[in-house]
Amino acid sequence: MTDLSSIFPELILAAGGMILLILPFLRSGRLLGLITLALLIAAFDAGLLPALKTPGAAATYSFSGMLVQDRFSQFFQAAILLSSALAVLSVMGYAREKVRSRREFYSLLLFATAGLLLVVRARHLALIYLSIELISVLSYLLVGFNKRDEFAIEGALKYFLFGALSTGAMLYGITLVYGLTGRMDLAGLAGLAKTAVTMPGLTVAAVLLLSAGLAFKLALAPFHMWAPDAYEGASTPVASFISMGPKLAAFALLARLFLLGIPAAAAGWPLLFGGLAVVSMTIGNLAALGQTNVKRMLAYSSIAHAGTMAIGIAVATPFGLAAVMYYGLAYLLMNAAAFAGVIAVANLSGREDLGAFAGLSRREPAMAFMITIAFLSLAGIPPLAGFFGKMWIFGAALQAGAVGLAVIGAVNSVISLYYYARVIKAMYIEPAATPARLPRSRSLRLALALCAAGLFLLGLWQGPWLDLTARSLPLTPKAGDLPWR
Amino acid sequence: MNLPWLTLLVALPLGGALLTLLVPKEKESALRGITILSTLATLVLSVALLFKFQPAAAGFQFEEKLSWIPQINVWYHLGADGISMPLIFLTALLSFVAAVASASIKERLKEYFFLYQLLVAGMMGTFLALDLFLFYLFWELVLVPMYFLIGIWGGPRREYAAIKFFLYTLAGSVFMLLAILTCYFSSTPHSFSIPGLVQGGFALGPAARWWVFLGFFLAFAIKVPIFPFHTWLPDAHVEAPTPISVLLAGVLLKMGGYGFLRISFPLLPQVAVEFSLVLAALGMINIVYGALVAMAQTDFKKLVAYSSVSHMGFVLLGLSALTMSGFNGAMLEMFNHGMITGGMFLLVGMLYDRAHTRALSDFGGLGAKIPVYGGWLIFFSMASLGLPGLSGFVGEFLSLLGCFPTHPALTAVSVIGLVFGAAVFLLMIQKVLLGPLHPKWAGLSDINKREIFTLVPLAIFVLWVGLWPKTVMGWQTPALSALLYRLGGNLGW
Repeated sequence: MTDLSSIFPELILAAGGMILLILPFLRSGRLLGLITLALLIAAFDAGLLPALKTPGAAATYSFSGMLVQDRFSQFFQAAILLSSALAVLSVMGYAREKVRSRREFYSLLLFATAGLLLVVRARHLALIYLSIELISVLSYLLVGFNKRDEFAIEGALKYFLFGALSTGAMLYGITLVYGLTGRMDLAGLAGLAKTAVTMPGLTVAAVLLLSAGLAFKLALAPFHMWAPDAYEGASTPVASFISMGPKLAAFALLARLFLLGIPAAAAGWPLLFGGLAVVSMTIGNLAALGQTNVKRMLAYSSIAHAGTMAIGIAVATPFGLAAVMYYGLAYLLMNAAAFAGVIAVANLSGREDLGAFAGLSRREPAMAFMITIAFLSLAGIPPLAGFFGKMWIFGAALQAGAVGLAVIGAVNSVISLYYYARVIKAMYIEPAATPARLPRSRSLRLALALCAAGLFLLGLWQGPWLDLTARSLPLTPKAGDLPWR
Repeated sequence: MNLPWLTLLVALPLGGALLTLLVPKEKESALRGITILSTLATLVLSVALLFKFQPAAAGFQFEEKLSWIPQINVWYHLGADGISMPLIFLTALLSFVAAVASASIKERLKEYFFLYQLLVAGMMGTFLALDLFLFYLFWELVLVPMYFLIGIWGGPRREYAAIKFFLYTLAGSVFMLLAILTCYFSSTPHSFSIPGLVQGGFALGPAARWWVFLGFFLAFAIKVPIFPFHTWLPDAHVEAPTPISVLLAGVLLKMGGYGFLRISFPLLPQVAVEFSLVLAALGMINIVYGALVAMAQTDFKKLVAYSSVSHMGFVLLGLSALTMSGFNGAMLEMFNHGMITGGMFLLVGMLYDRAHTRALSDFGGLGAKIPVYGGWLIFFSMASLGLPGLSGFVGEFLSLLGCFPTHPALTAVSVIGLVFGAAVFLLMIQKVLLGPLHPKWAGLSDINKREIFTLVPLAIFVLWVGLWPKTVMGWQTPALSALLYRLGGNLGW
């Protein structure tokens, strides 16, 4: 019974998803959205609020140690629930008739969120694999949700093919780990230190396969090819969802598997992630420069951001992980806001290219301002949260002596300004394309306002957030590990 | 009274900006009024502070120190000393003048004045911040409004100029950020405080110190701008609307020179001394190259922009001197250049508003047609080319004098630049004011009272500093000599 109560939030979401599917009398999309939001809030209340009220609570294990509930997973669970809530708000503001069966849509979203909540606390490779499959399959469905849209089908198919390959690779890696250490729980990964000496080839192969699988999920270059097409083909709220929750979960997993699990000396994975970070940042930013479809541009931008965050993993220090967690929060807010902006503009013009943004500042000054905040934060302009995320990542790299990573990251953040500024330029400098006003969507405005306020809050009132990341670290930092107390 | 004076210097324009947001965009005179009042209040306050300021006292004055983010030892720390006081006054004066000159802006006033006041707050904060974290925030706060101000209200190539400015300066600042973080992580306890780092020092090897210095140098060099990082300047200055050109040339360029004096030199004195030769060489290139390129310009505004590159060369030369006269000259040159070039850009803008062209070859004989304008143009041109008795001469002379014992050969070449500089402005006067009047300018009207009102305060300081430089030098000398002592420079010269 205690085991079941430990997965109460996941149960709420899964049961809620089922009920949404079978209740035939709910026809109002709005009501469905509100119910989904309520379920997400309920999951937060049930699962996280009690834990947050008892600071310093020790980690609790359930299902024979397969699941853990510690501050680290709570941090990511809260972030994931927030990202799902923002995605729901985006769906509610998505005025186009594209999303025909909202009912199925919301229930898929709830199932996927349940999977995400599970994956950040899994401590067993089989369970990790299963939750990843759950999330992946639901993501393919969500991307290809509009079965009459050719782009959606193409994106979903690409996503599926690459995803199947990557989970296959990951499964192969898991079997190798099992073969090498004879264990499937995360604590057993430490055994790889021994096998790295006795069987170096197989150990490296296992680490490479595991990281390749995760790199696919994170869309780190060179495993990023699916992302632009999937983002462009998917309806915008879905693109927003798959760019946030799954990414955060994958970073949590990355930390659990590599930072806490596989000894760095054993397989040299810090070097691997350093390389992935550099390639992702550079390819993501350079490819984004030429995009005219804003959604596609945001896909490349999220590849670059994942690369920047990977620096925090590559330096393999508590500070690096704390920086990733802070960055994750900032990334969630600014990405959600940017996608909400794309939805708002697309609602009016039916287009998602740069031209559709032209002259937005004169039609909708407040909305243009909030979208500008999001894009400036993505570009890393202070005092917004996106800047401080980058700052702490670079700081972690400098502290660990990885000056090269910091410099490459810094240069990349300058490059990224160019394409983010193109959106701002379109909104403020170019003349209006269509003089009409945007249809007002309260939920979109709410999402945008929440994110914009959050970006300022996270940036200017940093203390509590830094404390939060420090408290949520899965490994106890020694004195001097973190610049903050 | 013990009010947070320095916070007010930032809060007045910032409050004005927020107030602007509340005013409906149709109420144009209210929007203009708010900005003029907020900048005037800032100016009055800065003058009052100048009277309260005690140059001889050591350390920082009007200090405010509040814990902001205790977890990472970040403080809201403001303070002023002899290095920042003249620049604070310069910023306040030019902000007010440019706000009055913003009468030439006719569209999207609400956004304009909001961004304008945000820009003023950012510039003020940059000169006041004593915490590197805060300094960086203000430094970047200047960038964003400037991007919009050039991009929305600029000339035909404004989009290109705006993004070029944004990218160039951001490229410099990210390296400064890395340098700041390196200082932070190598100090115990980790600290962003400028005076703290100066006193406490930080554990870094000689090579790492060079890299940190170069990180700061890149940011400041792009802002000054130092050859070869100057290419954003002609585009940005030419495309920006007149009041923004005034602030760009008058204040933003000084942020670079100020950065050297406030951060690079005191934090890394050893490297600064070793770097002096490079800085002098770059200064010489700036002086000669800037003047030569200015001479070749056919666009009036571009000519003034390139002459700024030349003038900022004197600042670098003075800084590289590591002597008392050199430092005094560099600071004075920054102060004077702000007043003179601010005036020059105003004059260029006034002519453009009437003639709608800036091509020098289109003009000629205007001296007879619009004599009052001609008189002002000659006055500011003479100041700019360094006529003794006007302020431009004092700064340039002191820089050259101070640099001579340190780098005699480079100084000698730089003096030639003075000749080119004179040629630039004399040729310009000839093309614009002298010769036969083109018939299409027959209807040109002379400048009005409001325009003269914007020029008078600048002219007063051009004359004042030219005749009695001791006033400004009195503010800055004690702080500069303290810095020079730390650098081990020649205090006697």
